[in-house]
Amino acid sequence: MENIGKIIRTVALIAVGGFLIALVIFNVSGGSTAGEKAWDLRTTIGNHEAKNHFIMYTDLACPYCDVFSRAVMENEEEFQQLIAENDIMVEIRLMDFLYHYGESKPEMSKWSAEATVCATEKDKFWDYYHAGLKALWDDYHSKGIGTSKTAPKIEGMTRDYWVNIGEKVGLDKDEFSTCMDSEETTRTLAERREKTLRSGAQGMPYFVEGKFKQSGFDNTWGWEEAKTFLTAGI
Amino acid sequence: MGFLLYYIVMSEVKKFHKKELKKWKLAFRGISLAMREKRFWVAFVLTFLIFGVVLNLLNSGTAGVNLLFIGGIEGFFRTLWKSLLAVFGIGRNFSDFILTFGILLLQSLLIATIIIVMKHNRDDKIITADEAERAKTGWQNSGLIAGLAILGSGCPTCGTALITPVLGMLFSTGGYAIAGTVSWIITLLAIIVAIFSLRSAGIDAYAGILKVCPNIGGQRLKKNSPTSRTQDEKIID
Repeated sequence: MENIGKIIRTVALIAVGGFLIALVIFNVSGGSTAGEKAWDLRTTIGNHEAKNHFIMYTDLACPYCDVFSRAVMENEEEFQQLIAENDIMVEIRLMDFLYHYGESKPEMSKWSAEATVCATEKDKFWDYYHAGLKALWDDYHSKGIGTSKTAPKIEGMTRDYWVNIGEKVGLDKDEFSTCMDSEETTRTLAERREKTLRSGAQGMPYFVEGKFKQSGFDNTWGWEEAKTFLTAGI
Repeated sequence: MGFLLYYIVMSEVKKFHKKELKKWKLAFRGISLAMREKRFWVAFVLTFLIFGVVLNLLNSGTAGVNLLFIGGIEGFFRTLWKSLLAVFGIGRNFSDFILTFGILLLQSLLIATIIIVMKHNRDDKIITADEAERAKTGWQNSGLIAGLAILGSGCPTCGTALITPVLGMLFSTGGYAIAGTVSWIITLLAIIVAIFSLRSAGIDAYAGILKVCPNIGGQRLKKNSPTSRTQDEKIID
């Protein structure tokens, strides 16, 4: 009887000890900086050594993603202050998610993702991303086109639309266009999609910050809601 | 022979059409009579606002509900307020607003009419099993409409409609590709169920009001309808 008690105590001690060790290991591995976890530092904004890592999985064909990004763009000063005060590094993971998994398979999803990958290669991610969002707003979203399931769809858009945005931000048109068609770009996007699916994303936008994971945004929301999402995982 | 068959079919279609038209007329009259009661408008406004806020809150999938709890007290009320404004189209696309507004209108009319039917059943004190069953069905249908409308809401283009995770579970990533179509079918289904439930509730309201206050129904019938009350009762039955 005494032996059984000893065995139970030993097993319990081992279990508790194991649990504590696992906890330490988990915390150590989770303690790496945001920059180390990023897919690509060129698509991040904020301190690379930051404690908090806010990720936005997005697709330029997703109108609600654009609402979030525009809200941030229009409040850039406040946004910079917010991420500095809260030690956040923001990373944009842009891909052609909707072209592959969406219903209407919009080609603009594919073209814009290819173009963004190529702009990133030339260290022009932010210029291109902002120019792309602005162009979409000016040409379509501000006119109520392509903004929701009941709104008129974006029609007549060609691949050149995205090439021209590249040219506007100072990229060489031919080189940029060749890059968009390259196998390497296709491979990069395939890897991104696979990783995104593994992360649990089912739709765009998909926000991750620590334990906070949330899909979706609304077109009646703005900066206040974006701010709440940006700090939700801290 | 062919002509005779055609004649029989056509006369049956005509009869059916006439009967259906009368049913719609009775339903419309029932709803109009129900609208005279204060209780109807209280139920209508409450349903419209509560269901409208819920529907708009779920337009972003689960993000709206989550936002209620992660933004503190201020965030909670701001999110509710924006959802309430969206009920009246503020911040929404006109096409999105019209669709949601239409569903909300049908749902609110239905619930308000059912409440009047139940009130008259209670006043009548003699409720048949059939009447009780019809009121129960009305409630069940209003629940079904609410569920369908909620499932059909969201942005299927972005894959954030509430139906998407369910489809993803059933069909893996292939499910995301049909989210938009399924969402539209569900929304249409909600509208169809709402229209037919409203017709049924309208007829019940007419019958109920007629039973409890025969003078109101009788006067209106004499004035506006070529049909006699007995004929109407036959249709109701």
